[in-house]
Amino acid sequence: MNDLQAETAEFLALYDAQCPRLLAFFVRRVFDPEVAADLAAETFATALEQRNAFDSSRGDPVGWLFGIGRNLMFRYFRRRDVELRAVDRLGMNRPVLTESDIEWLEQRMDFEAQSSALAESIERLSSRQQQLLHLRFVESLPYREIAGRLQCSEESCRTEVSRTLRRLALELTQDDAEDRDHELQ
Amino acid sequence: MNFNSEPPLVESLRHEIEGAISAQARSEARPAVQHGGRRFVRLAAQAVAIVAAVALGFAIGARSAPTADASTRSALERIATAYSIQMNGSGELHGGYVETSARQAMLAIHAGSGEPGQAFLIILSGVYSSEGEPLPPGATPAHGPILALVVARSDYQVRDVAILQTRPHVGRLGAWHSF
Repeated sequence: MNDLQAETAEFLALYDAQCPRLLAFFVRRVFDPEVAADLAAETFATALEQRNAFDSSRGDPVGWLFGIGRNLMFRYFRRRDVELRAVDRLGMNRPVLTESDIEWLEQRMDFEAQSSALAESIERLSSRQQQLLHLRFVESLPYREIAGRLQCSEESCRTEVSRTLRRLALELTQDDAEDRDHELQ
Repeated sequence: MNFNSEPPLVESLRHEIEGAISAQARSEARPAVQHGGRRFVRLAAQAVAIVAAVALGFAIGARSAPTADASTRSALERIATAYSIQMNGSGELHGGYVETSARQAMLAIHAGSGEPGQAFLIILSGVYSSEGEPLPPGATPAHGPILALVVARSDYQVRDVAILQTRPHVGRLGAWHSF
């Protein structure tokens, strides 16, 4: 086996081991099978293009692969669009999902299990924090009105809402990292 | 379908990758000068594409609403389907999902356009600043769209709120919660 064949076999082994996990990783976060498939295709295409830049001294290939995927996913969250640049550059066909692909991916959304994390986080908030979120995001009240209802300053309402959102985000981020570790096992 | 079996997508994408590897190998085997020429053309084409994409991005950003693109709608519909949520109503609420403020959704429920116990998927706002304030289209968000699911109680008050998506860098969807 020459170098090229060995390199190809190595990359395909990484693909075989990680593709289903990567698809599940994406669909549990984007909740859209087509987006998950596009992200997976672009992740492997990008990894294929950049495989010579991979430095094994800086981490394992699985972490590197998921790092690429994570960056692409964050870009999707910011722009609401998956650009299949590497897929197109490599001349690959864009993913076309079958019914069974969609069924497989939807099974892995696992919405109930995922939702428990945020439910628990919200339950841990104080009743005042819950009330603030309710007034701000359910009743869509302006901070001025919330401050009037809760008899506090507008600025303190803003600060507390912001802190509460940050707290939720932090807790969810930790859950996210734990999930990733679990998925990689 | 066996839950543990792999979907056809895994195999088809593998074929695409194998094809790309073969094409790369063929490309690398060709004379260097030709390779260099193609590379220059490809880089030039990419540069044009990037400029076009940036210009297009500005154009889209200037005119598009901050919420509910096709994929968001698709996600909402899938979530609703997963929960067997019956979504209907009248006016703006008709059509399976709602892109409005929570207040508008609640007003519609109060007005009797939604039935008790029915759920409405709403988008609480577009993008948020770090202070939780809505941002104009095209702005860089600190928070992603906050998608929420509101269920009307029999007395037409909010029963459950599910924050389905919080911040973009969290990338997680949320949970049932009763206030």
